[in-house]
Amino acid sequence: MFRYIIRRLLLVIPVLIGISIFVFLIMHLTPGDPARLMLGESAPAEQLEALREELGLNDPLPVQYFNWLKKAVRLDFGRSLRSKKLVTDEILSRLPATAELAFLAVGIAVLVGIPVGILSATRPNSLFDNIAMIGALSGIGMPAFWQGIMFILIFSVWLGWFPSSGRMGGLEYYVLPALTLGTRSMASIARMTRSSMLEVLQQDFIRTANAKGLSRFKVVFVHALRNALIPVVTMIGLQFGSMMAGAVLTETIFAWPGIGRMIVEAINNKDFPLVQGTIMTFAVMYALINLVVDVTYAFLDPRLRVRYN
Amino acid sequence: MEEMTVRQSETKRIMRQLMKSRRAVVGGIILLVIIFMAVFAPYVTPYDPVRQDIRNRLQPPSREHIFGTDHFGRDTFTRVVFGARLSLRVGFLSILIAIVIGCFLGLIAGYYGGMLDNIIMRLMDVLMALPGFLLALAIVAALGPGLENVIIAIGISYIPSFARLMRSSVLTIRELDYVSAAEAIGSSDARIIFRHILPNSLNPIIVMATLSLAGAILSAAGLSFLGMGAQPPTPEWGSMISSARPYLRVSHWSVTIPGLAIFITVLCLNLVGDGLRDALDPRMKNVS
Repeated sequence: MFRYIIRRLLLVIPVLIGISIFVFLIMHLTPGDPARLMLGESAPAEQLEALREELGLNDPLPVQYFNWLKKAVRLDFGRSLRSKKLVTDEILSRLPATAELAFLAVGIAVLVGIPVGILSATRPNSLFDNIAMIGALSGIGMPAFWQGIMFILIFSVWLGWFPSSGRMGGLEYYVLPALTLGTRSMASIARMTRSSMLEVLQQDFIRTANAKGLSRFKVVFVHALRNALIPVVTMIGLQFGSMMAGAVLTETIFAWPGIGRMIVEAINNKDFPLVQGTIMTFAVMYALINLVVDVTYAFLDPRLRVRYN
Repeated sequence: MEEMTVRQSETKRIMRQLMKSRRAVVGGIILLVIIFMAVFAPYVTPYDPVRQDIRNRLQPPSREHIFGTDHFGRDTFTRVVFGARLSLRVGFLSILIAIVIGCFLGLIAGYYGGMLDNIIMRLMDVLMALPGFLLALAIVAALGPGLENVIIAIGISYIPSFARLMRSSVLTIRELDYVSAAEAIGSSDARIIFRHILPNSLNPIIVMATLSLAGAILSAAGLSFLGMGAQPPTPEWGSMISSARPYLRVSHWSVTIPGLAIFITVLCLNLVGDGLRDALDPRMKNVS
């Protein structure tokens, strides 16, 4: 198991190097002189030259990349062009808000998605199953940004139940953003639970369990569920990855002070160091999430565990 | 000639299978209506999607404007119909890019194997190091805002899934007897790839293309909503929602309707995709 984790960890390194080249190039792929883009059209020549020197823009590209990488591995992405604060500090100050929202959203998604999936699978093609699965498909097709605005329209403009934006501390501020962020995951988890459960329920050991007269409850929740949940647990892990993408839109709509909204602002401000740092953070988090998911999967499934030991 | 009839009866079988799924049929019909309206947009509605009419701004639905008007007095229904053209075009073009490049890379990686395979697949791993929407966002951040860049960005973000799918089909088909037979009688690589491997690996690609189209339309609308895709006054669904949003409290129609349009289009594509998956590839039936 330990060796498997190490091997899996080593595989992450080339991927992160690859993405770091891309992230580094973001600034250079943009048409035009990066220094001018950052300072604006009317900036005086000396100021431009000073910034070029500061950012090392006069060096050859590979040299620039290695200098950038050397700092990046020490978590130094330079300073934000807007706030002049360290990029790392900016990211760290925004990360908790995003994490809170993501955990809450995944929590809601699991608490609703799994029971709905189980109920659907135990009554396939029933009215409940049909409604639930159309609902799940709708949840997957709904544009998150529009759903968020509709929630604001219904629950804060019309009904006045929840605040429409911000994060002032109270629990009521979390309800709409977390629901918006969690809907897609809820739908995916429900679909996954259902199909996995349906597959398990067709297997021989379930027939045996039924045949020896176990109650329906025991068959479904003790025998079938344990096996059916293995792929679902993987799915739940992967949802944290999709939370990062969802956070960009959800945080923008609800003016939520997380890193999703920060990256949109950074892109609009052409704040390249901040964009680079944030995307690199996303990539590292995504790699770690996938790593944890793979290891959990190997751990949960005894068939795989045997192979790795 | 004989091959043709085999192919045709296969198509017939698939169509029959597809028609059995009520959800897929409903989704397909609505989708055809949307495509029809997009193609004949100027004949479907008498209004201009861009011309402003300030005197009639923020009107509620009426006989003249079934979904009301936006903050510049433009007919919401008209803009949504014209928006369908853009969304469908952006979706199709980006998935086309992804299919062409992704399938090509997957084909040569799977067929030739070795070093080439390794390089291509590691490159795909790098593209998958970020969730698709974030990768597209990062590419647009690099290329600058605009609808063409959104198409490129979304296209690139879908390349790895097609490359991986294609590669795995190639690896399976390569081992089959008819490919060995073709090799034995001295067929060229190109002939084996284009006559034997490609036609036999199309089904999963078609399924994935339909489902990816739904995702691409969603992503494009999301990017435009963030101001990185279509720019006003272009009637694009995502950017319509973002520009009408400040007037939500006064008149929500020009936010609600474009969103419903995205939702219905994506839902129908998913319904058809699910149906196609069941009809084309019974093995994938339980994968969600």
